[in-house]
Amino acid sequence: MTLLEIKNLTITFKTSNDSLIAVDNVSFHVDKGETVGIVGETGSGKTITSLSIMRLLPSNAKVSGEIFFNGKDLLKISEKEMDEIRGKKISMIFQEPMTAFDPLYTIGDQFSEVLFKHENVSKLEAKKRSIEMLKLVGIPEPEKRFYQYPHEYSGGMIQRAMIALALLTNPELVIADEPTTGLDVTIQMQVLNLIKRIQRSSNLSMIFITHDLGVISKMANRIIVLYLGKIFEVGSVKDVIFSSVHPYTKGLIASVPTLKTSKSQKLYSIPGNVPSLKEIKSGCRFYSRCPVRMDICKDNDPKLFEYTPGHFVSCWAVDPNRNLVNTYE
Amino acid sequence: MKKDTEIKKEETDFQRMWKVLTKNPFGVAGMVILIIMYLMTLFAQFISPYNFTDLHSKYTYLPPTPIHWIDSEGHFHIIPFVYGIKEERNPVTYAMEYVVDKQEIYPIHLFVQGESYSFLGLFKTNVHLFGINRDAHGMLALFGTDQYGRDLFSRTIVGGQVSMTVGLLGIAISFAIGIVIGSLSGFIGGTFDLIIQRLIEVLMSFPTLPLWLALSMIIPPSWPSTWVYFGIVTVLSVLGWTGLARVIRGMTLSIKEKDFISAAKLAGQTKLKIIIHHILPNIMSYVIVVATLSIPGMILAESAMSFLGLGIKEPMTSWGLLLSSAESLESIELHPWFLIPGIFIIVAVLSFVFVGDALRDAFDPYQYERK
Amino acid sequence: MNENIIKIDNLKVYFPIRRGIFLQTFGYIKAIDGINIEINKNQDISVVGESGSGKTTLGKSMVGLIKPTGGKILYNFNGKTFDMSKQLPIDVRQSIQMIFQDPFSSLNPRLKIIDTLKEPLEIRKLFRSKKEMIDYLGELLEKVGLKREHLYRYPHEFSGGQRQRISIVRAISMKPNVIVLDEPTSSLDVSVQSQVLNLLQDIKKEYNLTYVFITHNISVAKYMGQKIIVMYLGKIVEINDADKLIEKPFHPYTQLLLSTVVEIKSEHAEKEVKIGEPPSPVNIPSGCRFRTRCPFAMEICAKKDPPLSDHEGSLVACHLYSNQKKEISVNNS
Repeated sequence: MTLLEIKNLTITFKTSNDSLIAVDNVSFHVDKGETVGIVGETGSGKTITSLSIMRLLPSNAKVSGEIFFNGKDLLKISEKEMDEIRGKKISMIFQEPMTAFDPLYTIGDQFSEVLFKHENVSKLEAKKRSIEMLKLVGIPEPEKRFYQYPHEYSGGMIQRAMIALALLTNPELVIADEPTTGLDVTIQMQVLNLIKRIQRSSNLSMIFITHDLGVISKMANRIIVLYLGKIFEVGSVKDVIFSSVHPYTKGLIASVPTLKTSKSQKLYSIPGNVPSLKEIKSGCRFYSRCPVRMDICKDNDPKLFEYTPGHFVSCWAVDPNRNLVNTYE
Repeated sequence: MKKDTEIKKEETDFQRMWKVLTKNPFGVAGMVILIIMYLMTLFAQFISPYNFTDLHSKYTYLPPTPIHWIDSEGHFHIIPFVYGIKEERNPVTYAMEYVVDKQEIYPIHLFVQGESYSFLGLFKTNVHLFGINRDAHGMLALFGTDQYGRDLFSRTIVGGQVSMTVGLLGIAISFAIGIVIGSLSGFIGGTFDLIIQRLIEVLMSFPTLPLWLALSMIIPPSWPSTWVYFGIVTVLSVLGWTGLARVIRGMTLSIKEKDFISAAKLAGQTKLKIIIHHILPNIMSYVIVVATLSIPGMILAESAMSFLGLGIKEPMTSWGLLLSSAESLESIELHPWFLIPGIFIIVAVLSFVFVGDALRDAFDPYQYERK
Repeated sequence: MNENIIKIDNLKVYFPIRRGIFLQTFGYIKAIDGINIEINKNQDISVVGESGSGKTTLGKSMVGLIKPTGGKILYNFNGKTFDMSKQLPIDVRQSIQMIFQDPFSSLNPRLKIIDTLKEPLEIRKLFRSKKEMIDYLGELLEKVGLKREHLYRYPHEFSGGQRQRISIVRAISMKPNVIVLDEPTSSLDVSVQSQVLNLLQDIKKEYNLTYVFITHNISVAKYMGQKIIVMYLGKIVEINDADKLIEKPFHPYTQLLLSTVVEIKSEHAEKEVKIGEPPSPVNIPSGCRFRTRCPFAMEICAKKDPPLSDHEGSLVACHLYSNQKKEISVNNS
């Protein structure tokens, strides 16, 4: 069953001089109990997409398209209705938990406040549920920790508290935006295991955003590869990681050194830098860096098509429709 | 979303700053007002119709003289004029009163000859920007006159010379002290920093008013007025550098931790050059903002000192000193025009604050550096 | 032939914790607590550890940015030995360089690239004319994949990867013998990281450099170093050749690190590893520092800090191997 469906989402930022298209005609869906990973580099629009679902974009952003959540278009409902969904039905895990918590209030206060806001619970009930949740994410002595301030938590612990906070209201969808970036590897493993365990046991739907291909292949059921606001490839982990089709996805995977990479072997690298949004012209956005580019790519933006069942790619090199495009005009 | 990969178009720092600066209407207004005010103080003697020290014993406590274009008979004059003034005894109270003499019309001319003065200290002249005939039975007193019949407009403009420069000069000095002490204190750290910080705290904890009293006592009464002026500036800056030094120290501490400072150390750069080449340019914009925003404090301090009779003394004048003649309620009631210099203080202070705020927005050097 | 280029002898770096108006010392953070390393010329060393392990402090001490609290760092330059905590002659000073993690803090935002790059050369007075110097810098920029005209731009006009290339130019322009690299790619995009790593490899060969590569990513450490040093809370727990260390880690901490690597295209065993929280560096456990997280902790571990000793060619600091005790299966974690 589809929980979230995004159709033709386009997000434009107005700056003083021009407008930048940060997300360009993006469509995808998240099923119930499914984790969809969004992977992308700087400027890919992965964070912007998630903020648009929460309707938390800055005022200079123009959003068009549709975001259906449980059949309701989130872009059309009132701010009041959105307030009830945001933080209750959809919640978020941020990259920097220290900034997500208010240093002036105890963890307990901040947990209780969320419960007071969304559910009509007594103080005692709120405390009980908060402590339960802290226990669930593996925070030792949750009764004591309930009364502590954010700075009294260690880095790994505060990240777990953040996850607990996101799960407190039994949300239907959790958006995790680089939840383990900046954590030590051992702690990262703990947090990933925790998220996965909870996601499975409570059949949560998740959008997991990261730039780390290793992390995403561990966490996601399906993966969306985003590059400068466009979807390049979508499919199961097996499709996208193990039999990737798009030259960008292939390049990304090949350029990460692993424990098996030998020292004498040169790493594959995608030439050039990620261009800025301003530099985008017509045609494929990956054109300037692509190792298999063709004439057609220069002026014609490829469309997402179904390469194998459930595996979508937007690349002319494999697109059977490319002969139908008249490149001479 | 990270924006740092966006390549900016060729645009110098100054151009970018100017663009932001000119977009702020308050900042622009403040700047224009300040430019006008400084031009006025520069050419004060030329602009003022009378010498600020010249007494006109016939016209004491004269209220501001209105300027007319249409005379009592309804004729329109292209050149604005003032009426003459004569003294008459009030038939009821028997007090002497100034009465407008509508028979006498004195047109206001440009470049009239009046009392002689020294133009910018270069040469002696008696040409004033505007004024009325020297031999007129009356005065062109735009802001009225004081108890000696001195023209308040001329005095206000000349007073600006002190009030408007005291802040600039004072900041220049405390700036210099603040930069040297603040950056060294932040960069060297350790015991030196500790001592400097405690010293600043001690200086800051003194109540300012008694300290002014004490310090202004040091200025000998026999000093000529220009010396007194510099004495006041020194007093202000000796007390004013502490805040700046703190700000600069704090910024130095944060810049010091940046990797490019480490890189300069690894290249073998000397401490002094690291401060000059790497630290100061990076904090300068903030410092200029802080300095601009501290000028009003200096202006107000000078006014307060002069108002209390601790600052500028006669025959020199300043806005604070001029205001001191409006110290009693009675005086304000009888001669409300004595408050006009106060308006100048307010306008100047507000303009500096607006410009400072606008500069802060314009300078923010990391607005495109943020991750 | 295998002379030491850097010899670290019982290095200790403590940061005092100060409080109060007179900044009394209330205790110390022991960032580095007694380590010995010998680095041979042209031998690449990777230092791996988590935050709080002291790896960055070690790097900064090696280049002389942090003065040791105890012990010595000796640096061999053209046959002469120098103490890194002392004032060095300029040519020695410039011959050991560092590349930093954060590309946004490593270039002065107020200076054009040329002004940043010419600083070390002007101090050294290497060039007779300005033109020669600009030619030299232009060539170097081209070598790292940038353009000559980039000399006249400001740092904010460059992306993170480009800035890191500029930092590389600054370091190699001084013709160093040793470069300490502190997580030079960890804040870069995935596609840019491999470019920079390749570039670093090329430059190393061309300039005959010795790298000390500091990272938290053990895969990158293996790719960049012949030897890997594993640090934990200011101490070395294991040193071995990179391949051997990955293949057969001895120290329980090294084993933990390797088991928590999340890698692409590797089948992830869904087993729960006992990971635990690292203790704070202010409150270091007695005896072996890792014992609070160690699955094999014994009685002796709380009492005695294990010394680094040889075990099957690897230097390990663990009581498990001190008297060839029972064999521990490596995959038992």
